[in-house]
Amino acid sequence: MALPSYATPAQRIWHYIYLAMCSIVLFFLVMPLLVVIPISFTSTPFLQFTPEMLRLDPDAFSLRWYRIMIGDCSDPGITTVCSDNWKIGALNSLKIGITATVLATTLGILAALGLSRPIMPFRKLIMAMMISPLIVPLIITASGTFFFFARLDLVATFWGLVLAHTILGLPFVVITVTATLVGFDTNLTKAAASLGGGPIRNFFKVQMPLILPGVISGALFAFITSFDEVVIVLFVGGPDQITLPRQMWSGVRQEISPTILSVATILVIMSICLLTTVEMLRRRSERLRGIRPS
Amino acid sequence: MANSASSNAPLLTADGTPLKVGLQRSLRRSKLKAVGLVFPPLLFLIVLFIIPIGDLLTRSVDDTRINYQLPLTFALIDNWDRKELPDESLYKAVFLDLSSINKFLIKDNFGTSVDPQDPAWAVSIPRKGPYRDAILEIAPDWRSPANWLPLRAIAVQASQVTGAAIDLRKAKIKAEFTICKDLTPLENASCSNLYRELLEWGGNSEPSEDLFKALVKDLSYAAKYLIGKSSTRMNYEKPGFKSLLKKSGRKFKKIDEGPYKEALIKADKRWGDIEFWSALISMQDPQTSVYYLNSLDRKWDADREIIMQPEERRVYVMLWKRTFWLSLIVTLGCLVLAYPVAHLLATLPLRHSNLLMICVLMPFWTSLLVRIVAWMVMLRSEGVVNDTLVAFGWPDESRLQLMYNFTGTVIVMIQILLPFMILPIYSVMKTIPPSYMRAAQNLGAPPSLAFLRVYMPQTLPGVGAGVILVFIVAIGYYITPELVGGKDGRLIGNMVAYHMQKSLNWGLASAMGAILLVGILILYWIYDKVVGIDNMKLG
Repeated sequence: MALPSYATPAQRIWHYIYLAMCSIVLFFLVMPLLVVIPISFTSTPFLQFTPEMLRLDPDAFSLRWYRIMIGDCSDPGITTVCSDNWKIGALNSLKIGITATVLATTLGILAALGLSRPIMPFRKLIMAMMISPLIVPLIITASGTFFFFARLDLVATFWGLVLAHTILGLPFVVITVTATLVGFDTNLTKAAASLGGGPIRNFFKVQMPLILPGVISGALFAFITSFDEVVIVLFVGGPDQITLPRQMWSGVRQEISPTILSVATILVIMSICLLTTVEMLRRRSERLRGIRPS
Repeated sequence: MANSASSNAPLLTADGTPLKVGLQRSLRRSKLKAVGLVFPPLLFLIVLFIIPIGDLLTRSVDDTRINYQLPLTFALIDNWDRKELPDESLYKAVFLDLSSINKFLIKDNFGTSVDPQDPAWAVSIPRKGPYRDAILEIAPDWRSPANWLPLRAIAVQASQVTGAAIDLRKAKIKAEFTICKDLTPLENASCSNLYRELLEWGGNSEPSEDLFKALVKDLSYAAKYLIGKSSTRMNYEKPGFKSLLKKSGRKFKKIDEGPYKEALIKADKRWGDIEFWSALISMQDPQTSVYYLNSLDRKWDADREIIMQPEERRVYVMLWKRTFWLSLIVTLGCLVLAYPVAHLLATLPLRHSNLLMICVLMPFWTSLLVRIVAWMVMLRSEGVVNDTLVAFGWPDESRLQLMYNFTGTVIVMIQILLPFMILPIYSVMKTIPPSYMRAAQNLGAPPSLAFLRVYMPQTLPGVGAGVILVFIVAIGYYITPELVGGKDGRLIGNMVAYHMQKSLNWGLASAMGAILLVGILILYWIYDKVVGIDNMKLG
């Protein structure tokens, strides 16, 4: 945004102050994440930029903390805890995340399809209920789930965590799929039906490809929510269910070692990949909807 | 003629039914379809989310455990005039409630309907046996094997489980709990003796003395367990109750007969203190408001007036205030930082704004724990911020304390919640045509006035959405304050977690959760009025 040539000096000064403020805020948002990445490659056990690192001395950098992360404990110099827990946790988180995402996406699509029909009774109330897991503080959800699951023998089980995470992921799928359905042209399904397609075939052949971007971004939100969730795991997971966030949680509560930063770096890179995917999907969806005759 | 007749006749569809009926039918069918689609996810949500939260809320008023513990006492306590110490009958009731297992054997006493005249209360079970006759005097049902068989079925089923050793063990423990649950109002007492004896018994002979012995043993254990649980609750009402009950449990064994008043006061002189008896009255009701009062630093006094807790026990009002202030500061901080950035994003050409948008979205997509870890690296006293300051000449000995306090919580929470503020404001600003500002300036308004009178009012819906959203999320926060908050950054969420996991005062945790939830639901309702939940967008 350039200033017009007729701007007064006061306006110019104000404009630069404004730009400076914006850069500071954006810097504040991103900087902590970027600082983590170089420190994770340190060869010392300290969580800071050592003078050697600032001089870009190659000896100051190493992959030793990444080796510990994947459970390779052969490094003689390490004094921190070294175990397979990071690997186990990551695998378990993936399993829980994927299962919960599949469940949440299926249920969320059903809900969004029903809620998008103009004839749905109690539409607003049901929508509010569907989104409520997003609004209710996690600590309350976790406490309620704990008592309830204790009665059903679901505490400290894989399926207990999957079900709880499905509930958390559901609102995201409902929101994103409903948003794509807003621009959906119902004449398309009518046309498909008049051409003789059954409702299920119509859904998968006509409707699904068009709402797919919304479905995928909802599913990604659901996945990342489960993959990043720690409060419910702490309450409902018991001692048996090690997940990646739980492992990080206990790492942070004890002494933070650079291993955590290695994990953090990988997660930051993962989040950048996810973000790019969602952004591309969003654009594709806009393009698809742009083609649609209005 | 023929024409007018046909226009009066009802319109028919192809298959001959009137159009109106046909339309209604198809309307109903599509309504059913919509409901059918929503039904499975809604059911899932109600069963696994709404019901558990409702269940949590019932715990915040539930006080039935004390009624299980003291059924006879509570049946008689209304006769007491509450001015002087109670008479012998009430002392006897307390003695029987605390030292006998009759309360589990007299069947319908799990509730509140207890007949104090029932002679079964007075039957004492000999300490060293024989048990059969005494138990049959209290509860004659136990004479017939039919009364034992359902319990045996539980044990048999568990004993037939096959699989790994750990599965067998789990099945056994579960069966022991289930048997106890059938006999007592307790969920976590273990009836291991009965489990063993029931399997030994075989189920086809008369119930043996061994079975009765196991019953007495297990019920005595359950009674002890119940005292442990309920005395914690009684201690919330009157500090000292727990140790009183513990001591009484030991001393009561030596009391064989009345008068009980004298014997009890001799066992512990607190039984002669009228305040303990008054405290009992306030626990008589199976629903209690004590947890709500406690979570606001209040309690009942002896005259059933609500008073403040003593000075040294007041923490919660301060915590509520702190939670509210912190959320407010975080919300305002986010607003101040988000507004210019959202404006920049909305006015820049798309090519540049997309790049900057990534800066906003990246933290949004990054794991919360990663962001907290990153901030810990930044804010520690040997962290990046302090190191940078020192490198620029800040005195090394006065490094800033940026973490494990209120400041740290605020800094980290602002960064974490900032995207929630930027995105809704941005999406509203995006829709404001830039020509409005130009038009205002064209009509003679200086830029600041044009901004205040023309631009800003149009952004208010976005600001409202962001403010409410950030406030809602901030007020229930738990993870961030727990990790970077230290002592004076702890919030209500942390207290709920503490009472859930450490002190096990679940009633209080539930009550605090309920208050928090009501506040949040009110904000959610306002959010719906201001923005509409349909307009909630992500990314």
